[in-house]
Amino acid sequence: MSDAILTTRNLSKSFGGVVAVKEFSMEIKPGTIRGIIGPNGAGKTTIFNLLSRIYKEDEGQIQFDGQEITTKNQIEVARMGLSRTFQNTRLFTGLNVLDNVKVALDHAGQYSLFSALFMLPSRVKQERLIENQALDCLRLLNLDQYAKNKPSNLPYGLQRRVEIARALANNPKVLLLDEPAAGLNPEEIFQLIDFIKHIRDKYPTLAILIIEHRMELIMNLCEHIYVQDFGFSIAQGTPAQIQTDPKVLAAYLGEEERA
Amino acid sequence: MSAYQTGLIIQVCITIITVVAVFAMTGLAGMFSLGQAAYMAVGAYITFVLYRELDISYFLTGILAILISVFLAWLIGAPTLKLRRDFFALLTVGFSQMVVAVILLFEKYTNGSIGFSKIPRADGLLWVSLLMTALIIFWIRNLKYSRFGRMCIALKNDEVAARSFGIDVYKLKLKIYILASAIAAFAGILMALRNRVITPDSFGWASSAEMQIFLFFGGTNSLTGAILSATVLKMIPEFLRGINLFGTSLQEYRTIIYCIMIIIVINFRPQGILGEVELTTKWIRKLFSRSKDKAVQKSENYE
Repeated sequence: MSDAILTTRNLSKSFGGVVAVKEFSMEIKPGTIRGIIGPNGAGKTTIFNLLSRIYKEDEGQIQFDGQEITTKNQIEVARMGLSRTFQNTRLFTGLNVLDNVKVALDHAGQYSLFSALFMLPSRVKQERLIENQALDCLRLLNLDQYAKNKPSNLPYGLQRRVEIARALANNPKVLLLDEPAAGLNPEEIFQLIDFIKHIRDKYPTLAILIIEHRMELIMNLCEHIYVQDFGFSIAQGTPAQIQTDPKVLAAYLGEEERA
Repeated sequence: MSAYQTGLIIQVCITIITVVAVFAMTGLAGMFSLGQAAYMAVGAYITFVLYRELDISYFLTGILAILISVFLAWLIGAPTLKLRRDFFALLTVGFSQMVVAVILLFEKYTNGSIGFSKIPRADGLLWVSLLMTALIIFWIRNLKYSRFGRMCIALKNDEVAARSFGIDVYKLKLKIYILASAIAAFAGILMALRNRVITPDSFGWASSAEMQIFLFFGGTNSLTGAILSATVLKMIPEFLRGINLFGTSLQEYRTIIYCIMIIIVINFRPQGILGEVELTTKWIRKLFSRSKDKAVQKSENYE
């Protein structure tokens, strides 16, 4: 379909002899949430690392915002508006929450090293702009009261949300969430679901792609789900379809023994 | 002020300049270099050898020397900053040994290991040193609180995550390395003007290590810590001059003393003496208002 923001065609990647992803095809439109599920080692994170160009694919195409991005590197793709979070939160521990969000805007900062050193007016003005933009982002997501905290002093659930806020700061077109619920307790997972719904409402054109183990999160949020197992796509469809798909049940629960 | 006191102040200024430059490089951007003294050597030797040979103002040759160190930093940094951090650290050690070897090789111009002493007397060196120290501290402070400082800390914490926010890690590291090296070259010129004689062994591996020791002692994340520890640790040997141990002045043991101090600090306070604390105007204000509050409380208690 032509109105999809991100599409992959037959994406494959293996490490040595191990097939991590085999002929993976998907697409996602602006303003929608889709999920990728699968047991451990199904190649879900590899898909994200291919999309964000941390890995180079063996075969296949990725189209993002109308451009082929298999020839681009991690930095270029990030600057085009493909944002991501990581499986274990990777907040910058040396910076406070506000500065973590600012960093997401900094590569596009409008002042030179020279004016930074001499504290020229352009630096002062631009810094104020960045500060406001970062604060707006935190305010929108109700995180502004933690702005001056160091991330390591926050509970894990909040760190997760701050990481998502950081990924949203530069108004990306696509947001990749890598197991956002990993390590959270049931209470925190419900907060996270509300949080992601809140994001969907506040960023109407944002496409969100989620990798997850936790079914309650996926089934609650995603309109369309891709199921991976040992690198292969075994099913896709709406949550209701997935829940009854025999192949999916087999992958998750093991196959029924035939006497 | 006696010549000794002036000399000591200039010496401390030079140390602060070098440690502050190392702070920008190691403390902010996480590049561990053991070759910054080599850039001091490049700055000092090129300035005054050219000054002697070409007979032009040492302002001109000084600027030329700083430009040459910028070029050298680019030459060293461009290929190595793409590699893992440990390779970069190793290569800087090699570079500093190479610079010393080149100085010895060009004995005809540099006077080899005996030392180059045809350095003119500079008037007002004290004021120039103080002014430049203040300026460079101001620069690096601004750097820390600018977008470049934030990006540096981000890439020091996690390069992959930094890249995924569009930060060009390699280019930024190269920029900061070049900046730090240019500042080191300038410090080298000051040092030559102060000592009026330069020898290759004063720019060896040991003096690069000394800068790192000072930085880690004060805390790699604190500019204030870097300045304080540079000042204090550079002054300590001067106070030990008069004390004798086993027939030699305690000053001769300063490397051993530094090593013991750094072992103690790394063991008991790995983040350095100041950790992440910075002396800011807000902090000073808070300190004053707190002492005022206390005074008010005391007077209330009396009533």
